[in-house]
Amino acid sequence: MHKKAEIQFYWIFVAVAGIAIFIFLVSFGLKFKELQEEKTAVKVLNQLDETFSSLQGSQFKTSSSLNMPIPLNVQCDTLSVNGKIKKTDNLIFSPKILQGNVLIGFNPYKMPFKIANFFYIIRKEDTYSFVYDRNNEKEVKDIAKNFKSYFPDNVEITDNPKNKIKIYFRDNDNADIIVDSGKVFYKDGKNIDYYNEAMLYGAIISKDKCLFEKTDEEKKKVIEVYKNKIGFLPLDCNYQPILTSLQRFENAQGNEISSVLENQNKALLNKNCPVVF
Amino acid sequence: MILIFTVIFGIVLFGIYRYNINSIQDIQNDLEESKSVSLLSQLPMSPYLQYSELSDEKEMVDTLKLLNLELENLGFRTIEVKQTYPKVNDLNCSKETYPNCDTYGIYSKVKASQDKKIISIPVSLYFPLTQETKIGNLVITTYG
Repeated sequence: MHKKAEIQFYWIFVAVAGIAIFIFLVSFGLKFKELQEEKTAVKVLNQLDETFSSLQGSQFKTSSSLNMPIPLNVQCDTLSVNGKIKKTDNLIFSPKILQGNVLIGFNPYKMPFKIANFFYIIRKEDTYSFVYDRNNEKEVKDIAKNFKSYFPDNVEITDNPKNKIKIYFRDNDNADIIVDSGKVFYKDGKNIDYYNEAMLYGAIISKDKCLFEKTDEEKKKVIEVYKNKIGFLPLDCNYQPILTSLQRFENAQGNEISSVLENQNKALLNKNCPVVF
Repeated sequence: MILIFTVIFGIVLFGIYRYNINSIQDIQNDLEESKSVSLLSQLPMSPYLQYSELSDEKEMVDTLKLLNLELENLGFRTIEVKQTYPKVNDLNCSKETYPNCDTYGIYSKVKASQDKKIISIPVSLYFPLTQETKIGNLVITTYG
């Protein structure tokens, strides 16, 4: 009787220990898998961000393509993969979710000096029609030609649009985006101001105002660098006008102040003074 | 028997755990190193450093921009621009020592660590006041 109880206890002990070890092994396996996935996500995010940064080594506009094996979420200055988040300093104009083949256009943003680099990313299946009419054909062709140079197979400049996203330069019921009087209007009623071609392209791809706010912050930092530089330039040259314009530019937008700065900078060279930018 | 099995099992799990911790550390180090390499190619073209004339960017570092420059949020590393030719005084550059100095410190966040890696790239240094071009190195020290 005593021996039988001992054997029963032995088997119960083996069963409980076996189940405990099994649960432990399964949970360990799951945790290990989770960790490996997190490591992959972190690797992908960082490599992607580094790829963008490396493109900035080029000072010319350029384009490239990339395959995203897993969905990448792009939200202003945040990239995320599988719930893993990474802040980026790169200004990426793109749809919110990228997966599969994507096309990348890259352009230094100048106003009038270089402020930052803009990345334009579109999905391979996204196609754009820049639509002109009899009255604005030349203007639209001029505006759209660089966008087409980044994504030649995805962009048409036409008066008979067939592509997925239709951009009109006058009010039109078929329009997904209307560009008019320095503003980009979207179907949902939202709008964004733009001041040059680089910003217009950004606004066409992404309606995230946050990127323009980041650009503005970047502009202020670059202005600070130039203001500091002026402090070391010769006192016998008059840098006061350009310094005042730079101060104004910190809190202003637009092409007008940009042209003023450009002219003031040119005037310095005419007086044999070192230029600011 | 069960005891031996448990000990072997424990050792194996500990080994896997250690391997994982080390590989995470390796990934972290790899990422920091690749960030430094990326900075090395990116910084000379950034508007904070690059010389431009009438908005036309030149492949030169503007030494006047470096004098008061403090970059931010670049992790545990130091970034310096050093003039290598012609040789000048072994001094940190400031308003007082410029241009007779050789080191422009533009970022510094040092970590007390034995593990550090130094990488550099040659750059052209432009001196707007004298319109001279000299030779230097952009040096990035990454702390592990």
